[in-house]
Amino acid sequence: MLRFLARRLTGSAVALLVSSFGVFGAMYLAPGDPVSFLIGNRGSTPELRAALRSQYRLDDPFLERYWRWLGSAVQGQFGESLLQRQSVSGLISARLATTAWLVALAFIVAVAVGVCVGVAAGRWPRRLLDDAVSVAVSASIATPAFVSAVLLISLFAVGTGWFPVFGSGSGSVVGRLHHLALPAVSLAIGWWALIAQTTRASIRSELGKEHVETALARGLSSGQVFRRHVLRNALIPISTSGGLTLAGLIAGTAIVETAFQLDGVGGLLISAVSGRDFPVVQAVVLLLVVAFALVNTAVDVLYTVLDPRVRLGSAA
Amino acid sequence: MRTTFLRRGRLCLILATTIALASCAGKSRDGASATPGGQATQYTQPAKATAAIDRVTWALRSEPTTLDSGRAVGGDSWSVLANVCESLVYQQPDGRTVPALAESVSRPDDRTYVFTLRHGVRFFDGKLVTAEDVVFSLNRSRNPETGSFFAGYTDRVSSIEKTGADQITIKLSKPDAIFYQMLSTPLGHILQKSYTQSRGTAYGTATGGVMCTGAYRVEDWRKGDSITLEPNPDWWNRANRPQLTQQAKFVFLSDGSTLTSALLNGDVDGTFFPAATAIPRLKQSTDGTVYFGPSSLLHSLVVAHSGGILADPKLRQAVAEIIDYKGIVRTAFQSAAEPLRAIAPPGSWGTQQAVYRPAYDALRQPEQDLDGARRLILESGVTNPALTLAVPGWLPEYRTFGETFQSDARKAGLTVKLQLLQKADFLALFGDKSARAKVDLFYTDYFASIPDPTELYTQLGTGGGSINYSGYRNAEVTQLLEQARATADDAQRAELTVKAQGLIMKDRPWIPFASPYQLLYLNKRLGGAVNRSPAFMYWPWLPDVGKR
Repeated sequence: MLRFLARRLTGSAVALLVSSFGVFGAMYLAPGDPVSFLIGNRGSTPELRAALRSQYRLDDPFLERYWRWLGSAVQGQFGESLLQRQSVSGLISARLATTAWLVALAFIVAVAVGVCVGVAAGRWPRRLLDDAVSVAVSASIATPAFVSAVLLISLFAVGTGWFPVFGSGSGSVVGRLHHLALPAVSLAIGWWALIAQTTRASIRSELGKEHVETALARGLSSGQVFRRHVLRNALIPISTSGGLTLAGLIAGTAIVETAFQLDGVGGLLISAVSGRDFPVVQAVVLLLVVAFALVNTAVDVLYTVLDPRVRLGSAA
Repeated sequence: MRTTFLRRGRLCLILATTIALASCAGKSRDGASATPGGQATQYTQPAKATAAIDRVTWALRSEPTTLDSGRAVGGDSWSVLANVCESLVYQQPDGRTVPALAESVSRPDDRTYVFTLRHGVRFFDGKLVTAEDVVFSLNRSRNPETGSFFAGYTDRVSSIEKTGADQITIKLSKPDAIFYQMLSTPLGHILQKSYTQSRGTAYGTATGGVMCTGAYRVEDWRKGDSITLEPNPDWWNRANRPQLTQQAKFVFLSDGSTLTSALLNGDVDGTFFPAATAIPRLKQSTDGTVYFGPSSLLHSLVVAHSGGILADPKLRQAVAEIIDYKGIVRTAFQSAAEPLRAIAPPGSWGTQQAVYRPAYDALRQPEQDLDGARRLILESGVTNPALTLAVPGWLPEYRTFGETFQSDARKAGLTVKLQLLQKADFLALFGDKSARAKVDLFYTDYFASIPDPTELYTQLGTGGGSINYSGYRNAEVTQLLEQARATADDAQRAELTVKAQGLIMKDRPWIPFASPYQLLYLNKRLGGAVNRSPAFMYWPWLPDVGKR
């Protein structure tokens, strides 16, 4: 276990280093800089541009800038946002709660709906329900979050007026749920379908296995067989797709938070990228990499719980 | 600033457009208040507010990066700052510059301004405004290290000094009527010296705060979510203009379709920046109204450099004749704009309508004339003329403009290579000469900073002007504008500028085509917001917003 974790940790650290360099390089090579973003198309004198460039230290060589950034990042300091002139960690921590709520809600929706639908479709194949699920799954997978966001807003925020159009509703839990319901559904739409598909497929394959038939032949009730022999074994692929879903949801927050104008980390990433706000982009990307690594590790650990035959050494 | 294409969402805008089109497709388009392109403008103004209101939610298109007057750029931050910070002088909505934090202004000679401070004006923390604060603030604006967008306007200031207990004297190296008017913008905002110095670079941020004298103070700034303003109980002008809005929450809705939805379902009470594509939908709303006001906004093609085939004035004129003025007004602006004859739009004339109107009406009609363009191209003698036009590729209306222009140009015998640029590449055109060298023409929207065309024409028509992208020079224009800038009398200055305008419109360093009206959406329970640009960026408008 310890060796496994150590190996995971090293792997993650290397991934962090590589991705930080990659992102830094990409941002450096991409055209545009914070100065032109700030000034936009208002006229500006070359003196003003030069003054701003030197304020932001944009003229320093690439490696020097990267090294300076890495040096402070290792000490846990992610510097100051170029555009907002505030500490990056402050900017991110103020927005973490919204993103955490959003991802958690969307995850609950995706898993609950996905597993229920998948189990039903898997257990009673070749019926109307099964066909309906197939259609719904395809439609959901084909609907990008920014489309579902616009649809949900026009149906349930403008049309019925049940939900607010934007904002994350800080404060009470009820306020949070009220504000984040539509964003969470919009975020979950593509992913419940993945879970439903996996669940249905794995339930089918378990149902056809010998040990299930044996159990049934020995006179066990079908409900008992389904719970103890089918569902349990089917949970391994389901938990894999659950992990995948969680990672996907985290990445998807960027789009959904922009569509619903939530004050989350994903929205921060989008505005930072378009403003070429290097320190913020770096920190958010690192946060994402860490989150992915954690999710992966958690899924691996979960395998051993679900199936004692799996050893961490071999699973990793 | 309503630099529309800089502020909008990208993908979602396509959707917004689709939805806006879809939602109005089935219904008849009455367009009652829309003005048919080019005809007399019908402005609509909200009713006056009659009572105070507890809370107003107002939408901006992006979160201000800072509320530091020395660093903020753009309509979003300026429209908030207008209610928080004040200058020695105000720019009234009608365009007149009047004393504000100064009680009086005198001009002993044409290079000296003497301001006497208004007595008893206090900062948010209760401390009195002193001459030191004023000297500090103005010098901070012009210090290049501050990085103020407005610093370029102070190039003729030779000194700003305290010359009495409550007296400040500004000396200029040359007479400059523009500088005086620019004092009404954030360039002239008076900040508290001790507070600003103690906060350093954090001044104006969500954590560093703002220390000014305005009608409202920043009560709360939740990053990424909202800025909340509440009335300043010590505001010096309170007796004349009671602050009807008791609390204003500014939210940031960069996505056009989200903004439209929020206006329609009442989550947001008002905005200066509704998407033009949403106008038909907003017009049908029973919960609020879109108002159309005079604006200094303009959309134009800009000649990118002095070389290439557009060095020939005949071909620049041909470009002007190829543009489908009425078509663009109808489609891209949903008729909430007027075709433009000069670069300075009617909404930028300020108090000098009488001088600018006849000169404007005498200019070439903004109408498409493909035969005329074809003749001009033949006369130019250029065989197979071709040019490159850059437009913002991520915004459908602008792309449509480009494509329409391209196909119209082909009919007139001009080949147009269209470059649909990404945002970063597009913005590079405004600051990088080598980027401009790769194109012949590019699209821009813009607005005149003050209701005095002398400023706009000086910036684009004289050497060293900040928006003179092609290095345009005409000795006569330079001389006229120089003289105008030095003329303190408004009418005389306008006469000179009008002459320069006539020459510039022959030379065409910019080829303007439309001036969108200033848009204002207000929920029906509200009245009183100013509906005019650039006034909403400099004039404290929030006190007048209340129940109607």
